[in-house]
Amino acid sequence: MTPMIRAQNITKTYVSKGIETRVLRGISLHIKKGEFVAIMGRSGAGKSTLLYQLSLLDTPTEGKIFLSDEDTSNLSNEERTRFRLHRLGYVFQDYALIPDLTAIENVMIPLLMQGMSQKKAEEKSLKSLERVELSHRKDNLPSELSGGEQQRAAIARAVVHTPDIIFADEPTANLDTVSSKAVLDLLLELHKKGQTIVMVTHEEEYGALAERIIRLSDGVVVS
Amino acid sequence: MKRIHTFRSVIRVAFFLGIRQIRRANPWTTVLIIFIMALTFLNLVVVSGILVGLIEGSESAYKEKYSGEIFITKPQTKDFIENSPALLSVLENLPEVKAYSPRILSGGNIEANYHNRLINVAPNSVSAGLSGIDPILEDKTTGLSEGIVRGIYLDPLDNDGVLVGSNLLEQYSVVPGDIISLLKNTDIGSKILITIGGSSKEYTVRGILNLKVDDITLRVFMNKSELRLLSGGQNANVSQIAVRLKNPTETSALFVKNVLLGNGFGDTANIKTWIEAQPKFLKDIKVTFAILGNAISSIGLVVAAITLFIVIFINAITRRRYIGILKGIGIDEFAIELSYVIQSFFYAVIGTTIGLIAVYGFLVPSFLAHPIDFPFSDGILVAPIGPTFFKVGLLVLTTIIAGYIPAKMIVRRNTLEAILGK
Repeated sequence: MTPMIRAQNITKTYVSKGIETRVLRGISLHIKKGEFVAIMGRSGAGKSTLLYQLSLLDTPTEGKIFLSDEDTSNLSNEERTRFRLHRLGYVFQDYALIPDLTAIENVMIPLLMQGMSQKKAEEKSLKSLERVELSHRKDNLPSELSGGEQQRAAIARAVVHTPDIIFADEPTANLDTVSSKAVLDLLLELHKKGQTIVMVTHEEEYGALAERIIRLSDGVVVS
Repeated sequence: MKRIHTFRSVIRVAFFLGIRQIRRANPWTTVLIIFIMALTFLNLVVVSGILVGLIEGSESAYKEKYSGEIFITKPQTKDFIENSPALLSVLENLPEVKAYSPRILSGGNIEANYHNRLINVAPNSVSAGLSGIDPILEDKTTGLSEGIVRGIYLDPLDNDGVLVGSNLLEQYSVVPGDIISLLKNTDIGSKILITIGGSSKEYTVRGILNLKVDDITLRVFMNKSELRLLSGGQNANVSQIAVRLKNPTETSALFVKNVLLGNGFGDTANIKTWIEAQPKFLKDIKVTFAILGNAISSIGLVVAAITLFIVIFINAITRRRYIGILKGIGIDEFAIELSYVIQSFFYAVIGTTIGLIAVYGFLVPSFLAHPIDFPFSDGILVAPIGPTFFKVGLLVLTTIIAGYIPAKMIVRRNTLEAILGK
């Protein structure tokens, strides 16, 4: 079976004021379709950096990343943007909702960009909000939602266009225990329906919920 | 990869984002920006409009109070329009003509307080133009009586009275006496001695005229028959005819002019429409003021552009993280940039609409009803539709560019760095 994500010898080096910092050192990995993988490691291990490379938010210094067997290393900026729009979903640590848009508008925006009509986008977004039990707050601005509600709205946005992979970067970091559990339950539910999920977390308890854990230390996969 | 980002979806997302940003922006900020746009537009239109209006006020006064729509003058080489009675007879019978005023012109010396003048003291006198008019026809044609600022209008049977232009008299003139010669201590009721060649006669000042037209304020008016007598003229010819038309348009004026030329009067007189008759210096000043007005206004335009640039730049830079997130989830960069352009466009359109309402709904009518009382002109606000809408376009275009550049600067930054707030 073709892996959903295939990374080959990924390195990432940052240069600041002439000083090179090698954050990822030749990482290779495979993630299968429908797999729920947690990337774990201590602070500074390079787990978020790896997620940014895999999710096409950043470009590795060396190495290749294949998503659904498509080599992403030769994609232009515009093509990477399009790839993210149609094939990937994101859940960020601090929710990353647009403050001028209501919950439903935040969810709708990728659909509108895909060319869907406003009416259809609204219907589909409402269903997505229903899935995360937030339809009753659809017309609220992010500032009117609690942290847990904002993260649920972010998950609704991440899944509304049925992406191939969802990337979640510390999705529970800013949440209390109850809200964290609700968010993880949502991710697990999506996984059960066949969704490929890659989640970065430093919480052992939450990482244990994933199907597989990739542990990083000093920019290399240790297990 | 199949291209699905159609231009349509980019536009739609841009409007979706732009409209919501405007709707949910701080209302006071929005009001302030729109206020700046409206003021900039007013600056663009009003500054040059008033400068041009100053001269247009002069031109209008010249036409209304002196030349009429058709202005017939003697050839430079002659003293009179030959065969004037025939020309006046044609004017009398032309259905397009509402009124006309034949005038005799002469130059002379005017002296006041001559009864008490001491031998070694310079006379209180000026050299000035003299106009011999038919007071009734003149008033019908140019409304000269409306220019009386003191005293009474000339009676057709008054052979001893004159009207004196305000800029010949020290106490009424807007030009200081050290620049031009002025009659001192002369007012209504004063006796003045008018001399033409070797002929002199004493007259009484009946009224003072001020119509902000030099050809009136620097002249003395008396009955035509009286001037003819004083200047020794023997025939019935006149020097100048102002013609007022029923339809005071350029087309109508050209038609009447052509009729007169067709009757052969072009050989004995200069026949001009009021536009052709306007003094050249007025036309030159009008062009100069228009250039000056546009130069001053363009500074306002630059200030508005910088203001909007700063507003959009601050707006975009404080939202750069959200811009990064939008890019991160796959929103086209151009859609985000366009959302800021839509905001700029909104501010410009609302601002100029308010400006247009202020100009055409309030300022232009107000200036017409109450012109600014400048010493040499009744200043009005000139805002022709074509150039005004050109300025609307210019302001909108400037604000679009001023909105696009900062948006582009912020949007093109690295997506991940923007998301991480770096």
